[in-house]
Amino acid sequence: MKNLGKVLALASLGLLLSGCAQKNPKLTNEFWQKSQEHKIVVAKVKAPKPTLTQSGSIGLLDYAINATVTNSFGDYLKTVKLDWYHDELAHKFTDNLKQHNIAATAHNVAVSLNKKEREAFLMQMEGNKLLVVELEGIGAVRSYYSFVPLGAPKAYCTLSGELIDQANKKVLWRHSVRIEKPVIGEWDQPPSYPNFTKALMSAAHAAKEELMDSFFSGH
Amino acid sequence: MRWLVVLLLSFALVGCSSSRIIIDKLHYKNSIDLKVPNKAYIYWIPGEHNSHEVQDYSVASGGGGLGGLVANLAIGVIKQQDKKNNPSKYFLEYGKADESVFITSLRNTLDAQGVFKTTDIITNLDQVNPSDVLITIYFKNTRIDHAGMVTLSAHMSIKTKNKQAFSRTYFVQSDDEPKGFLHTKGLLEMKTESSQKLLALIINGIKQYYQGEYK
Repeated sequence: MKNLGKVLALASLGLLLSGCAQKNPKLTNEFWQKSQEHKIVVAKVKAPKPTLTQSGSIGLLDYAINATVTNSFGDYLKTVKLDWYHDELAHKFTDNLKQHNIAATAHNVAVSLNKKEREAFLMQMEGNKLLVVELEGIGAVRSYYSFVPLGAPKAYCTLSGELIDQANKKVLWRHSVRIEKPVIGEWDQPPSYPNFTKALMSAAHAAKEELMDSFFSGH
Repeated sequence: MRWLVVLLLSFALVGCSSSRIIIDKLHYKNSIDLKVPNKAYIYWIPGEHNSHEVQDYSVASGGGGLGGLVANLAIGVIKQQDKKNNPSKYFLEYGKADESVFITSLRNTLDAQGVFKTTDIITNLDQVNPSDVLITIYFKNTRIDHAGMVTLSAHMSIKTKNKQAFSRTYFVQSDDEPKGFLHTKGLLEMKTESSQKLLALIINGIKQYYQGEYK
C-alpha cells in the first residue's frame, strides 16, 4: 500500500511535467488554403556573439585556463560574420511566402523580444501574423576533461522560428533546430581557421534549410 | 587496476550501442486509386546525414588528481582512435542504408498497387524516355538529435511529357509524444515512424500530381 502511494505520486508528477513540455505545432492545410488572408511580418531577434562552449568535467579554474589557451580561436569567433542571418534569412522567408501568394514583409531591424515586448510588437505591427526567427546560438563546442581537450571543436548553429497570430496570440507553427558539424581536416589554423569556418557555414546552412523546410513542407 | 576495468567496461557498453539499426521494409496500408499507363522510374539522390554522437560519460575511477587525469587521458586517446576505426559504434544516423530501404519500399508499394505500368529504381537517367514518368527523390537532409528524434527532409520532383513538372519538399519528424505510460521509443521505432510519415506524404504528392486523372 505504501509503495502504491509512492508510485502514484511519481506517476502524477511525471504526467504533470510532461504536460509542461513545449509542443511544436505544425501549419495546417487550412493555413495554406487561406493564403490570401495572411499578412505576415517577418522579424529576426538580435543575434548572440559566436562563442566556444566547453563541455565535460570542467571546474571554474579549468574554464579560465581553457579560455586562455584558445585565446586566438576565441578572437576569431568574435569576427565571424552573420550576414546570412542579419541580411538574408528574413528576406528568404519573405520571398518564399510571396511565391505562395502570401503577403509578407521583412522587418529590417533586429529586435530584442521577451514575452511582453513580443506581445507589444505583435499588436503594433501592420500585418496580422508575426513570423519570428531567432539565432539562439552559434559557434564551437568542445569536450574537455579538466583542461585537457578530448577532441577537436565542432561547429554548431541553433536556430528557431515561430509564427504567431495577432488576433488570438496563438502559435501556429514553431520549430527549433540545432546542427553540429565536425571539422574536415585540420581545425587549428590561426588566424582565420578556414576549415572550421567551412564547418560553421555548413551548420548554419543546414539549420536554415531545415527551418524553411519545416515551414513550407508539402507546399 | 580499477581504471583499467572501467575502461574495458566502457568499451564493452559502447559496443552494445544501437548505432547500426537499419529500418525494415515499410508498408503502405491504404489503397492508391490511380492507374497511370506509363512506365515510371525512381531516381534516388542521397543527401546529407547529420549524425548524433553517442555520449559516453564513463570516467576512470583512478581517484581524483593526477591519477584520474592520466586515466581519463588514456581513455580519451583510445576512444578517439576507436571512433576513427569504427564510426558506426559512436554515431547514430539515418544513413544510406535506411534511405535505400525507403526507396525500395516506395517502389514496391507503387508496383504492388499497379500505380504505373512498371516501376523501377534507376541510378542514371539515360534509360528514361520523355513519355516515361521520372520521379526524383533527393534526401536533402536526415538528422538524429540528442533525444533520438529522427528528422527527414526530402525533395520530390515528378516529370513527364505534356505535363507541367511537380516539385515539393517534405519535412517529417518522429513523434515526440510517448506512446503510452512508461513506453519510451527506441531508435528503430523513431526511424520507422518518420519513414512511414514520409512515405505517406510522397505517395500523396504523386496522387496530387495526377489529381482527377487515371482512376
